Amino acid sequence: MSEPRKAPPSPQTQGEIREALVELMPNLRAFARSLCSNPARADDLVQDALVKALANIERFEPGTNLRAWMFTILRNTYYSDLRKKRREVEDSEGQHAARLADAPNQHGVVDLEDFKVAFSKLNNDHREVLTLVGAFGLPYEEAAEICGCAVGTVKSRVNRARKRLAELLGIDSDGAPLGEEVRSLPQGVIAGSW
Amino acid sequence: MTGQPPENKIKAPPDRPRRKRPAEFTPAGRRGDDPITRNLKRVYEQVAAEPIPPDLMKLLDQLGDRTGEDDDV
Repeated sequence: MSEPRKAPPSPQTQGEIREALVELMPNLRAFARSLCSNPARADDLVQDALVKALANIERFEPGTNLRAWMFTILRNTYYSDLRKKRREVEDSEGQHAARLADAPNQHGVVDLEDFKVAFSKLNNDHREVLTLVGAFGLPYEEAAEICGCAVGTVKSRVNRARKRLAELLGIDSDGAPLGEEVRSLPQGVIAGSW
Repeated sequence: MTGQPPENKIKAPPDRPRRKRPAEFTPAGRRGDDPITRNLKRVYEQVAAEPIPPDLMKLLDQLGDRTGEDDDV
């Protein structure tokens, strides 16, 4: 992977902000999709975050990091909605999880669809840091700013998320398949062997 | 007793091969070849390849319109 991306130059005018937001849109949509696996819901989340951002655009300080600002708004919007609809979301996520089969793994080759299934089984904290750091290549510091936690917390979450994901995919940290005898052990035993 | 080292002298530890850091402590941002990072990027690239929904573009255009108004002032 390439070096973590540095924060892009901060837009100064509203025209520049618009251009920057258009460029950010794929990242925002991917981040939203990592939080709520339903693509339509994810786009609704981006839309809500964008409405909030545009309503408060005067609060954005030129010279600061628009990317972190937008990700933070999107994240806060998601958790705010989640608190409001907690019961409903838990039910739907539970049904979603129930539909998912255990991710198959053969010869260490990870199918993208299997990967998505395994990824959706991670908790929110793990999904968001893996997306920010692993998929987008953001520095830990920026991910910590977005998630509102310490840099060390992001690092440990990334490591735990990767371990859990590898476990779900039946691979080790280098991508090699776990042996049948290892995979047949209870989850706790596998986790303890890392 | 001359010629013998004093008993309280601290001996240097024997040379040991430097322990390799466990893989899980490697900063994830520097990984690239492992299947987890590769697939995270593939998922992102799939989303990035999709066209931006018109509703979102409309919202962004509002900002452009406002910019136009501001420019006129």
